[in-house]
Amino acid sequence: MRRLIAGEFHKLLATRLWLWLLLGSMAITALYTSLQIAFSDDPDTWTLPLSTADGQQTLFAAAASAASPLVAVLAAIGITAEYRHRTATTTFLATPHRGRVIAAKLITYGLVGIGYALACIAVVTAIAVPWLSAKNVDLSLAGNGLPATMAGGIAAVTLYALIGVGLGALLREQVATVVGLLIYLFVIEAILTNIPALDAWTRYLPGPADNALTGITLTNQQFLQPWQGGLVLTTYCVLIAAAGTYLANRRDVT
Amino acid sequence: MTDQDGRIVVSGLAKTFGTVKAVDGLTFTVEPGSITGFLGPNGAGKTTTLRMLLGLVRPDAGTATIGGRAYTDLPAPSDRVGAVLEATAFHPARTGRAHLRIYSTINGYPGTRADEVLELVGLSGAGRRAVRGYSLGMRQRLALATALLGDPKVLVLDEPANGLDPEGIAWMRRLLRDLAAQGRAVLVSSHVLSEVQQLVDHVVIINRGRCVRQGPLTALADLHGPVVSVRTPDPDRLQTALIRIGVDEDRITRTGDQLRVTGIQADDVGQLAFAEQIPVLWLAAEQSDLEQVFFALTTDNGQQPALTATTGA
Ligand SMILES: Nc1ncnc2c1ncn2[C@@H]1O[C@H](COP(=O)(O)OP(=O)(O)OP(=O)(O)O)[C@@H](O)[C@H]1O
Ligand SMILES: [Mg+2]
Repeated sequence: MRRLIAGEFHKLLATRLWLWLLLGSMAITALYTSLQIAFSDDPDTWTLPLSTADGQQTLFAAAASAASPLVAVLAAIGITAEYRHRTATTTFLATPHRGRVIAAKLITYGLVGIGYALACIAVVTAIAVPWLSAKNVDLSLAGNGLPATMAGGIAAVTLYALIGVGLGALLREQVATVVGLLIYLFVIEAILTNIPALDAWTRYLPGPADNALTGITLTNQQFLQPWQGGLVLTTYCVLIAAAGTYLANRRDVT
Repeated sequence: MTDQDGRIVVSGLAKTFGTVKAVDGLTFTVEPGSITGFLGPNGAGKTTTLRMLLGLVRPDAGTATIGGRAYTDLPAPSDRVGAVLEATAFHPARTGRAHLRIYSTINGYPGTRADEVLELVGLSGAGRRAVRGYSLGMRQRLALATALLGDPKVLVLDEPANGLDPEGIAWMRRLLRDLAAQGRAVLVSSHVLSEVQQLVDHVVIINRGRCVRQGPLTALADLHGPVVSVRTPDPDRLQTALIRIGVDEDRITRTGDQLRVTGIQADDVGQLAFAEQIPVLWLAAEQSDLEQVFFALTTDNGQQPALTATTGA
């Protein structure tokens, strides 16, 4: 398994996509963080004041919000590329037990997810610490529940990476998987969560569960408890990865 | 590894895609230590059979084993079996060397192995270029290099000469012959017999998913029998003499002063002409036309009972 994981890292690092998506995640993190701090005093904002624990947790959750979709895309591309470029044949010849291949990809992209999350948390920290101190807002990285937010953020990004792998194994079509993923996250989920009548249901969707896990508090939307969000997201992840592995094992590679 | 490790046994293999019976109760054996041609026209089921042999396609029925075990049950399969199934299965943005290093890593081979196989297939100069810039011939070589990473005793190659120019085909033949001479079993598919005729010792010929013939290549030639061409100023008399000694009339084709006779040795024709005192201007034993035999075997209405029998290897 160690060799398979090393091989997956080889595949990932052989092209630059991981770097562009990492830089993209960090840029989006910087954008979210800056916007939230800049508009923190705006009475119309949906976030709580940055002097509160909830406000600070929401600020640090920007890392996971930015990195999650892009890590899922990277993971989905990583697995669907095997089918698109037909390297699945070579890969499954080397490792006929396809479940092991998918396990190696899950571990690899899970680790990549942790890396992305850490890099994005570093971006939030680098922006928030000097800026808030200039605004005379007290910020202690060890207090206000921030360690839990960061841990939740790392877990959320990792789970998104695993969902990306599972979805890719399930669908195999690269363009369909990536476009479908992005449309779901940024269009379908955005619409559904904006229908107040569905509020009791939509909080169980992956996006809101991700928000719950990372400790986001918004004035216009209710989320589950962080642990509940983690449980919901883990459930999606296990179901999708299990279905993807089952089908990868059964389907013909022609 | 013993010789037994290389024997390929395909037994009752069947696969249907939708309504297409791609492989239909296929049975054959490939002995270790030889080059076997796996032949059949387009759509005969060659690729499907090889993919079932290698655990990529799930058969509807039957089994396929290499050295007594299913491919998926082989420990470290890449150490034993090298396979080329398609020439274009590469990530275009990776370099040839990166591709080989990835699969070296996965199989636990040393990092230097990639350079060794690049050298072996004559791609050393192109190893650091992205595969998207490779010609079809270079991709075929890279695919072969991938199969050779584990220095396997069994090679399974699906149409490895596809897209190669005559020089490339000659190169491929030399390489495969060298690899077989080192004691490897090679199973190589093709839809044209002439492409592998000078290479293979044995043939397995399939049509519509069924085995129509298997055995040594020489036996295939014997099916047709020897062919003799003879020119004489008196073809009528020679024809009559041939028929008198028992040659079937329809085995003699006459073009002007030339007779073409199948199923008889050149010596016998010469002896007969001498005995009958018929002058012979020119006498030649023709190379047996295997392509014609192959065509007869794989054309449905051209099938003769004698040709469809499957013999043991
Ligand atoms: N994935 C698939 N889905 C549907 N039909 C398929 C599939 N793969 C193969 N077939 C069909 O099965 C039959 C056998 O195909 P196969 O590719 O095994 O033949 P082949 O002998 O390799 O032919 P060729 O010389 O053209 O490569 C063909 O009729 C083909 O159309
Ligand atoms: Mg084929």
